[in-house]
Formats: sequence, C-alpha cells, structure tokens
Amino acid sequence: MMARINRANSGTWQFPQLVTASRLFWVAVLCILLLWSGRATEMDRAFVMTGQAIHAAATGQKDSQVVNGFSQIAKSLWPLQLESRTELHQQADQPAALALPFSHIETTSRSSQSTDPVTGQVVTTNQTKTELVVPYGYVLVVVSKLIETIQMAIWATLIALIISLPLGFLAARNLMGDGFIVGLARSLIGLLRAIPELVSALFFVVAFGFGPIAGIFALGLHAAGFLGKFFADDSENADIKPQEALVALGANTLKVARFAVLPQVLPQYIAYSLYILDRNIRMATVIGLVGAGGIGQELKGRFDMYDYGHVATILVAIFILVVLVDQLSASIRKQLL
Amino acid sequence: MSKAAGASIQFEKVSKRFSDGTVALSDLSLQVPAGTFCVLLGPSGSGKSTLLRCLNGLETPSQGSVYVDGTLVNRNSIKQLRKEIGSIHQQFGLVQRDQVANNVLAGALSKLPTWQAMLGCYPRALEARAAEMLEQVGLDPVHLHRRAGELSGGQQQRVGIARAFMLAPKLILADEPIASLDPKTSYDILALIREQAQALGATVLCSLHQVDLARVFADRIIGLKAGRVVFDGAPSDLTADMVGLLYGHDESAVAPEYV
Repeated sequence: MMARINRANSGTWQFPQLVTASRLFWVAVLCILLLWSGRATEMDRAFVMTGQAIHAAATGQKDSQVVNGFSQIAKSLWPLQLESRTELHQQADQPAALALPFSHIETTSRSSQSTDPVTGQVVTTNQTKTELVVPYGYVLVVVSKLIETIQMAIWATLIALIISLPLGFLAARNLMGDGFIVGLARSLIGLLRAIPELVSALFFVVAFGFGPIAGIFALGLHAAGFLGKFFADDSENADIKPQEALVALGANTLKVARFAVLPQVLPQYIAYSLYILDRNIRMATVIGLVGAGGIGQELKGRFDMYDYGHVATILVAIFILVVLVDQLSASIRKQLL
Repeated sequence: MSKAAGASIQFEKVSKRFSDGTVALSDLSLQVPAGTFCVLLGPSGSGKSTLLRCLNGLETPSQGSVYVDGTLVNRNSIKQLRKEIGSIHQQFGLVQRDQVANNVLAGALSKLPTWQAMLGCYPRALEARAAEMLEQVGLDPVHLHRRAGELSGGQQQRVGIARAFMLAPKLILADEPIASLDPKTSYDILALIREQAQALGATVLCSLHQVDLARVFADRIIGLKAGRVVFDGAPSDLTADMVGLLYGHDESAVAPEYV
C-alpha cells in the first residue's frame, strides 16, 4: 500500500531556475560584445577565407589564397634535409672524416664561364669540389641541439624549484599569516609570472649574450613564479586540522610546514614540477628564436637563410621530442602518485 | 620519562567574541584542580571547543585571563606552556598521507631544534619514547610504517593519543576525542586517555557529547550553554532534569540566573 503523500504547496518551494530574465539579459550583452569584437579581429574574414579554402580543397580548384599559401610552404619544406655536406680542402682530412659509418666523399666538378677583364675573351674554368657527405649528418646536429634544449629545460626547472619552494612558503597565508611578507612574496610571484619567457629572454640575451644561459634564466624565473603560486595555493588548501594539532603541540611555523603541510601537498608539488619540466622543454624550443640557445636558435638561423628543408627536419624532431616527453612524464607521474 | 605532576586550570571572567559577532564564551570563570578528569558537556556551539582552544593558545580570549598551572596564558608564555600540554583532537588531526611513525614523533617537535626537525632526523631516545607510547596505546610495530589514513578511526585516535602523550604533558586537552567512533571503541579510547593521564598525574579536560560516558569517566562534569557554565559538579549530581536543561531547546527551561 502506498503511503499517502502530503503534497507541498508548490508556491512556497522555489527551486533554482536555469533560464531567468537576468541571465538572458547578460547572454544578450555577451553576444553583442562578441559580435563587435569579431569585427575588430576580422573574424568574419577568417570565416570566409577558411570556407573558401575548404571549398577549393574539396573541389580541387586552386584559387584560394589560404590553399596557395599552405601548398607553397609544404613544397618548400619538402624534402627534409637529412644529410650534411662539409667541404674538404686537404686530402689529409679524408681518412679521419670518414670515421662515421655510411659517410662518403663526393667530388663534383663544375665548369663556369667568365669574361677575362684584361683580354676580353670568354674563359672556361673548371672547379672541383671535394665534399664529405654524411647521409644523416644534419639529423645528428639536430639531435645534439635537442639534447642541449633538454639540458636547458632541466636546469631551468632546478632553478625554478630552488626559488619557488621558499617563495611559496613565504606566500602561504596559512603559514605566514596575512601580513607584509605574504604581500611581498605574492607580488614577487606575480611579477615573475607576468614577464613572458620570450620577453625576459630578450633582456637576458643582451645581458649574458647568445646561448643557453639566457634561455635557462628566462625559463627558470617564469617557472619559479608559476610554481611559487601553485605551491602557496596548495599549502593554503591543505587540511588545517593537522596544522592546528602541531601548533597546539608547540611546533613552530617551519616545523608545521615540514610535518603538517609538506606531506599533504607533496604529490601535487611533484605533479607541478613534472609539468614545468614538460613545459620548459616545449618553451625551450621557442625561446631559442631570440638567440637563447637550444634547437630554437638553430631553427631561427635556418629559417632566416631560407633553408626550409632544414626547418622541416627541426619541426619533425621537435614534434617527436614533445610526444616522447609527454609519454615519459605521464608514466613518471603514474609511478610517483 | 619522569613523572610530572598535573597542572591546575583557572579561567577568570573569560569572554570570547569572534569577529563575525558570535559570542563563544561569556564572562566564564572556572577552576580545575591538578589531576582532575574533567568532562565538558553541552550542545554544539556552547563554547566547549573555544574553552579548550583558549588553553593551548589556538584562540585568545577577548576579555579575562586564563591560567595553566598558575601561569597566565599569553603570547610570551604559550611557547613554554605548549610543551606541557597534550592536545587530542576531534577527527584526530593526523596527517593522513604520512606514516604513523612521523605522526607520533611530531608530538615531540617542540623539543627538537628546527634544523634537526627540517632534516627529519629524530634522536634515538625520542624514537624509543614513540615506540613505548604506541605500545601503550595498543598498536603494533607493523602499524609504524602505515599511512595514518589507512588505519581505522579508533586506531587513528590511538595514534593521536600517543602523539599527545609524547612529552609526558601535565595537561591533556581532548576536544570530542570520540566523535565518529563506535560505542565500544569510544569507551576504550576514553579509558586509555584516563589510564595514561593517571600514570602521569596529568589533568584532563575533555569535551564530550555522550552523557553516559561522561558519568563513567569524569571526576567532575562542567555543563556549558551559550558560553556560560550552567552545571558544575560530580557525575552523581548530574540529574536527568539537569541534562534536559543542558540540551533543551526551550530557552525558558534554563534557570533564570543563567540566561
């Protein structure tokens, strides 16, 4: 037998509604703002051009500006530059240079015609060029640059950790109260985070010269701000009960941080640090564009010399590295947490 | 560890008003002699926790003075006093992710130089003391390296008790130590606290919601309501009417002099 349900007066029980007049108003305002900003950022043109490109690609026509642009890039990137050629000037160099497997020596002769300025006659000269060809030589160069990039990322992560651990501690309100020190530490963290790596790398390149030092400092300082903020926020979100328990038992702030906060936040700290390492490797490839060492510097150099085959090799190599790092950090994270 | 005598407690016209306007304690005066097992009863929000937190310096009274063993509790004295006060907490206050060993040893942090604590290296004597305490609260060596969060509620509170007794305190403050524990475990935990305190001669101030258990364990019961003492006496004096008055919702049920 069903129990008799006492029907509540539906007028007095007001449940939250999804669609309300004020929400509709704000959605309308948002739409108008987006339309206005879409004009300013040429989103309408982007839409039309993308549509044309898709149409052109689908029908096989080649009259789209976008399709033409991309196919031009694709043509110049192909084929990938894998081999390296080094000109040999002395016969004595040859045996030593052939130490690498599959390397060989190519001799090309070229004849060129020029007009002798004295006699006015056309002269044909034959030039022979002896080159050491290593079929995978440029790949080796890229790999060594990638290793330099990874080393930059590791050092930048180390610097970031050394700065951010004490900074995060000083910026945590649960440990340091809500006074001047926390304000100062939070401002410093904000400052470090506010300066993008590319910008600070420009300054460091001026100060320390071209090369990895500038890149490491630029990446390290930005990451220090990032980690400091997350360390401080996590510390503030940690369970307060063990902290109070240790305070009541007479532990000072450092001891509370070490024994009541650190054990709680350590897994997240490790996760953030791994993410920063991952991010630093990706950013280290970009930061080289301003001359701060690593693969990016090589990329920029080749791009400026229109060596698009080399550029393509570098891009493929960066892609492979990023995928590998992603897999690696995922598996480390799984093991540690 | 040498036997320490208990500490006496004195509240002199203590009031505590929080910044949001809540009045937790209102003109409360109280004296507990050394070595007493004193239970605080009262509905939620009656000021039991605040009273305890004024003793270990987690709260500062808005008015009035609190004395532990004759020493005024203030910013200067609290560092020294906390070495002699053991606190046991509702929900245990353990670091769930950390090993039992570290949780218990943390009870001795106030005795350890900071640099040594940072490295996490405890002297042998403290480790021996922690082992002794864990044995006394009924835990096994296998528990030492388990994470606190993996233990049952009763076992976690045993760890909490071992931590509180690490430095052989003169005063034990227990804030609803058996909340969320089953009746049998609750009884065992209170018995353990009383037994450990008696061995040291320590004073115990323990807030509870279980009137029957309060009657069993207390030398003295203090009833709090709205930040005032409405009952103070031996367990035998706590009549059913008194309990009704203590937990009654009807304000008129409270004797006029206490309103």
